[in-house]
Amino acid sequence: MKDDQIIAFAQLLDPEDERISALLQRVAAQTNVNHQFQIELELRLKKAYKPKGIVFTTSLAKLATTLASILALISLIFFVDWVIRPLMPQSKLASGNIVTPTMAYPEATPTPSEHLNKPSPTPNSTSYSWNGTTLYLQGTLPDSPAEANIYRLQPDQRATLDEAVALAGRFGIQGEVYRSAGDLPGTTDYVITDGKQWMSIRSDHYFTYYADYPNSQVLSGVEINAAEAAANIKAFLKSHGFNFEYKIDSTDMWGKYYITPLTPDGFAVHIEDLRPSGLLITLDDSGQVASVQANLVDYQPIGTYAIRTAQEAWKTLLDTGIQAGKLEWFSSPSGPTREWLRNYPMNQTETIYSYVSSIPSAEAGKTPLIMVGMYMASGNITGLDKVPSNTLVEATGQFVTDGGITKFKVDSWKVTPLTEDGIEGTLELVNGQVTLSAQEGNFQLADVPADIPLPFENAFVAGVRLGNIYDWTSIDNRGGPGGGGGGGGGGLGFYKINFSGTPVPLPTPVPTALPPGQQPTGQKIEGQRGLLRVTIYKQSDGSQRVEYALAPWNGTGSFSYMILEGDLQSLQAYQNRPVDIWGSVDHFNQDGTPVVKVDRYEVPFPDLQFQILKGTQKNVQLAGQPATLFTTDAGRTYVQQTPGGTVDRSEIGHEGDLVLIEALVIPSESLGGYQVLVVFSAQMAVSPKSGQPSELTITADQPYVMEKPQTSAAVTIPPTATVEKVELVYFVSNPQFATGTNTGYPYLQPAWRFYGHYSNGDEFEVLIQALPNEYLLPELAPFISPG
Amino acid sequence: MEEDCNHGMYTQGQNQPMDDAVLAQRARTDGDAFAELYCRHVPGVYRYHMAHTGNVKDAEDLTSQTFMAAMEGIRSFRGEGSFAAWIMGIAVRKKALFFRRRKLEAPLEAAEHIPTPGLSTDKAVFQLMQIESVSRSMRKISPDRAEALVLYFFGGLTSLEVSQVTGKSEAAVKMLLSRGLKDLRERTSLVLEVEP
Repeated sequence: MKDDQIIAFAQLLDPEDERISALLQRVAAQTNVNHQFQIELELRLKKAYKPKGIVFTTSLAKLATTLASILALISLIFFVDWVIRPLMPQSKLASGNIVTPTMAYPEATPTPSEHLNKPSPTPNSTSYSWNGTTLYLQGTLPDSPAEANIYRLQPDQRATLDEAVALAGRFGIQGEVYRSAGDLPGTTDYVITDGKQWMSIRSDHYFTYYADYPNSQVLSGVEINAAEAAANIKAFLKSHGFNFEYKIDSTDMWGKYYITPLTPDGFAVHIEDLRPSGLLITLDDSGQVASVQANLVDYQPIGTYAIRTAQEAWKTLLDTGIQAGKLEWFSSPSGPTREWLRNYPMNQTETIYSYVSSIPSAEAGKTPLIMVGMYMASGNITGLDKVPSNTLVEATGQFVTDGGITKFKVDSWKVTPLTEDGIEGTLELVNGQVTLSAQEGNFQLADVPADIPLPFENAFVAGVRLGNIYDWTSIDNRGGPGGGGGGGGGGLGFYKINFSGTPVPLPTPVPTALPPGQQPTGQKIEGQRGLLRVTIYKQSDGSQRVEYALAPWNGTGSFSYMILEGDLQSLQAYQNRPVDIWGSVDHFNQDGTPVVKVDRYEVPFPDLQFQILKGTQKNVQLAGQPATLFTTDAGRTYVQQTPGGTVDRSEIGHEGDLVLIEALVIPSESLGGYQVLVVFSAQMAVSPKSGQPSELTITADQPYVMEKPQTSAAVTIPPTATVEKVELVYFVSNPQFATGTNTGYPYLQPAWRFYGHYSNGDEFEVLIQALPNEYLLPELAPFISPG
Repeated sequence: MEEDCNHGMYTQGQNQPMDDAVLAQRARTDGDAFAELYCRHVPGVYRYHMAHTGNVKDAEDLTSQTFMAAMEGIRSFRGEGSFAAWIMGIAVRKKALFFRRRKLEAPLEAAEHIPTPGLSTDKAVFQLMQIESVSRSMRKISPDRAEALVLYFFGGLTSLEVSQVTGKSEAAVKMLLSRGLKDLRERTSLVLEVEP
């Protein structure tokens, strides 16, 4: 762990978070690899090492898509996690004066909107400086109602078995009832399935429905016409007894739509992370409902209060010095993802590799639900319920239709030592055979769907390796364009509501520090000394670009690294040598690194040469900090410094071992009375493996050469942001994951919602507390983050 | 990356990604160079997997898979980002596959109680309990935030490297870290469980 990094990060933290930051750091430091395991793995690696292996043509783009694939996969996992866990029962909502989304209001005309999965155009309107970028307001701010309500959240009641069965009945599921782990620790939810339709039910507010569970992971990537989508959703809701007033909004999640119930006064309820409280519906490629995820809240009115206008909220949004009374989220859009699942022929004996799961019945004495992959298992399933979950089995049997439900009829099975993995590569025809060409090797795939366009780059294939055969289970394109789903938040949260009637002063907002990359440019750099870093980027077209950078020493502390621009060619001979520069910060690149326009420079020690020194090291305390002294075999002692200018606490081998170091002795720099030695590399003077003297050569004087084309460090224009929608909503911290120790804040309060997109396609949302100060307390309301 | 590896190729100034990049280039043809990289990064990779899985068996298995995959794909590392971020990207992928099947097939509670062999001392058991608490707590907060926290604190990545692995901006990563810490404090009993 990088201590200075942690310290720097901790300085940005709420003091209360420093404690948990330190705790994580400590636990990480105490989490050590078992020594025996480490040695054994190293031996295995050495044994498997093939220096003359196949040269792969993986490119930066490939690496990037690999990372994208990883992100997409994570997103899928989290999606599946979110989707599978919640369950739901029959509505028992509207009772007494409790305001509920069901059956409380006449059906309204849904308002489908266009799919927003693309950057919005920047309107030709007034621009505002906001969060280090330019913000545009599309259209005008809406008129504001004088008053709005406050509602009190009602606790969620877990479904009984009968309620769960009744709710499933609304979806036409006539199946057995099972119990699975709930979304909160120590809880269980109901699972009701007929083998095709599947419902997980926690309550009538939190449930998940799949129309075709075995194929629920299939992502068609087909975009449905908005009007058709709205019509289908409307028909579905009506036929399934959802009679509340609602609106329909498309989302930046491919194929998904929010169905948002409206409050009695006609507004949506929003929870965190750009999400309204309501139903998230996924449509299949025919436009029919494939899944429903419910997150509904139950509430009752408390009273009516005056609110701030949209204009006042807009001013608060623009004032980045104000963080309380504000909540911000942003998210990267998910592009169209296409996935194919392995389709096995019916009524033919097949051997498949799949994970087995067993879900106990909710009723005593009944058999558990045995699933082989996503299919119900029948036939010779004796003993499968005893197999530990997460066990991969080799099962032989047939896919059969039983009452219209596809099941896997098991003839025989055994636990397999094989493991499932995922390979990213290109699917292509090689000698008439569909082949997956990947870093891991080339694998032949059988039964590849005919609608997969070949060659298919960036394919992510999951399955089991059987020699050069890949027994695949799914193929998707998440390694390519698409993915997304990343995001984050900002703002400190909303103040608690002051119900006393006596106003309480709120603290004056304190301007917050701007994050890196959003700092003002023009900062003067006066004689900053640091180590020069020269990197030559070789472009694919044979050309090259030379980048000059400085790792400042003992500077202003503002920057730990800066890229230099100007007439610097003569500096190329001074790689890793100290340089003094004068100039100013011209801009920040996309990584937030300052780019300095250099007015002039000096090389303070033009004759400084790298040396290979032999000696011993010793750890000491120097000037109040740990440091490492290096004493040459000639008896000269130095204090070690990293090329970045910080005290080097590294030690090779054990204290007192004879080591070789590649270093610069800096004439004018000292610490604790010792001359500074900048260390670039080091090794044991005697190889611990061979017992032979080792050699160390000077390489630090050579510019780094990168063979891959790099993104230019030239000016990167930050994405602009456009507010596309301003509306009054009610906000409540998502109660779905409330626990006994954090029940959140039980009020739905009015908030101005500013929603839009960055020019790079990311969507964002800012909620501004709409209650004026006289109704607020100087204390932030508890906040429940999405789980 | 802070461990002494004693492979005779140890490079100081470890926070300078270029040093690893040079090693990675050598590792294409030099097994010792890869061994050096392994030695440097195995703690971070292992800690990353421990923080997510909470048990030694799975963490060791995933660590093995990560380095095997890294060795197979070492030629694909071109130094665009740090080696630490590159290998942690592989770790993320291996972890994702692991949890993908686990998520579909096994309740988390069951996963948490897989026995952890090889630890016998009280100290080791205590430390294992701590990391299990961390792992459980991470599952209770937003996955994005948990991933950022684990990569940062356990994987030992900088916020910039986390941004490279997760595909988010560095500013976004810092926000995720800040929010994640707050989540851990407010939504979990991690402090009570782990504080001495």
